[in-house]
Amino acid sequence: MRKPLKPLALSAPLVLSVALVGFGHAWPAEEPSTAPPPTEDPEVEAVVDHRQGAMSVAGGSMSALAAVVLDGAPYEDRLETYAGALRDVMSDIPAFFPEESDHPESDARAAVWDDRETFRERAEAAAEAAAELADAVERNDQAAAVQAFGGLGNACGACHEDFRN
Amino acid sequence: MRTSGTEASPAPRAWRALGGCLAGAGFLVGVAHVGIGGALTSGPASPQAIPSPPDPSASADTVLPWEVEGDPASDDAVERGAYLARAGNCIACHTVEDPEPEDYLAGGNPIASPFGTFYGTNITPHPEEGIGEWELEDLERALREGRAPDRSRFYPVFPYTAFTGMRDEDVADLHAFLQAIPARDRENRSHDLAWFALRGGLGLWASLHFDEGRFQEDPERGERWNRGAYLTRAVAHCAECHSPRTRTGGIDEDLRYAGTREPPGEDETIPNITPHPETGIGDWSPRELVRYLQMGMDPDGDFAGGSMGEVISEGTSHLTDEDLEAIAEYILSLEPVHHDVD
Repeated sequence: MRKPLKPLALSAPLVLSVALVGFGHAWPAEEPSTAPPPTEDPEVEAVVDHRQGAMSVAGGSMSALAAVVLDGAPYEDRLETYAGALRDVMSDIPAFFPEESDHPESDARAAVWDDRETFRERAEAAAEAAAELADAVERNDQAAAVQAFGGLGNACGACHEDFRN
Repeated sequence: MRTSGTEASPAPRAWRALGGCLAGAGFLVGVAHVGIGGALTSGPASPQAIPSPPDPSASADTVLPWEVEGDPASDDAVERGAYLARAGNCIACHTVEDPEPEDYLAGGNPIASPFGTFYGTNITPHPEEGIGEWELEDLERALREGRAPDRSRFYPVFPYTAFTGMRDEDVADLHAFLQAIPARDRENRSHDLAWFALRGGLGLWASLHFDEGRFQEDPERGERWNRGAYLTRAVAHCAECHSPRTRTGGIDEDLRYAGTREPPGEDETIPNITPHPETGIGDWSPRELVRYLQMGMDPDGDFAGGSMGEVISEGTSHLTDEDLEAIAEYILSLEPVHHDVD
């Protein structure tokens, strides 16, 4: 039985040029990391579990706060709980990211360790914003609380934009 | 991330836009009657705008792109064009990271890919280094056909596959804006591409993956849906990142908007934004999606980071409530696609 002809002469260059030319993705290029590679050490995993849990506390608090402060859910009496939790959790974010605590499960970018100075600045901005929010809530100053909520959201996004995938 | 967090930073952040809504008639007005602890005595606070440093090259008739919110309903074509530049997020590719005022839209931003590194081009109106010589028809050709004024083809890293759908009047407005911003003399950097990324293949690529043509409204759908479809597809080009690619580099049509876990060169996962209940955003309400695009907060209280954080802070946070509601209606009307990328 005759084999079907392979149209090699046509398809090879065609496929090569087509497959390798086109695309539309656009991701920013990053410098190679100097931080140690991710480790699967169980102790590191526990550190990562803790910080992810702590971040969930922050996220859950922001979500609950938004429902009350922005959308009018009738739980004003709970605001101090959420704002207080945020102030505590955000007070020292870099402590959650010690040296050599990258892990395959972590969404942290290597920049957390490579560019520690910027990371600290962003974390401090978030800590200050959380403290302002807690103060405003304690004072029952709604306008300041909305403003501070905005400032904290801004700080969260600003840090995530460069330091989390 | 575009801002350094300092007061001198020129880049507006998502929350500045929120503040704008707060001060105006936006979605936060409802806050005023809520109160905290029942002790409401004052109206919403006015936002503190981030001051921009003076720009020595800006004259009275130029527009500073980082200061512009843009206004789709303006009588001024430049203002309308500025709004479209926000919606299309030109800044993301055409501006370096952590920009100074003179860097805006002046190119040089590296864009990694499996084919090498591209560098965003200078789209300020500088006559030699930018697009100052471009007539309206040149911008039309670029957006609609993916071709330079000399008719050579652009690499599809420039998403003309989406922009081809833009309305004539919107292309004209965008042209007016791009010609009104300060000209910068930053020289374009050559793309640093692998040997196999041949320009000669671009025509073939286009024949496989490019359908030229303006956006067509769906008469079966309402005005808001159609506005959302237009913005999502032709301007904001969401599918470009939120879809996996075929081996020839086109969008995998079966998985359009269904996310991808294999973006080149990054660990970042691009989520499924079809309303699939388990693997997509089927449990998001339109209100939650609007809030996400406005300030970056998802229904879990998490704030967007990575490339989407930038899309929000430089792009979608500057859009009107009406347009964000339109985008949300369109996105949540997509066919749910099961595709687990997490």
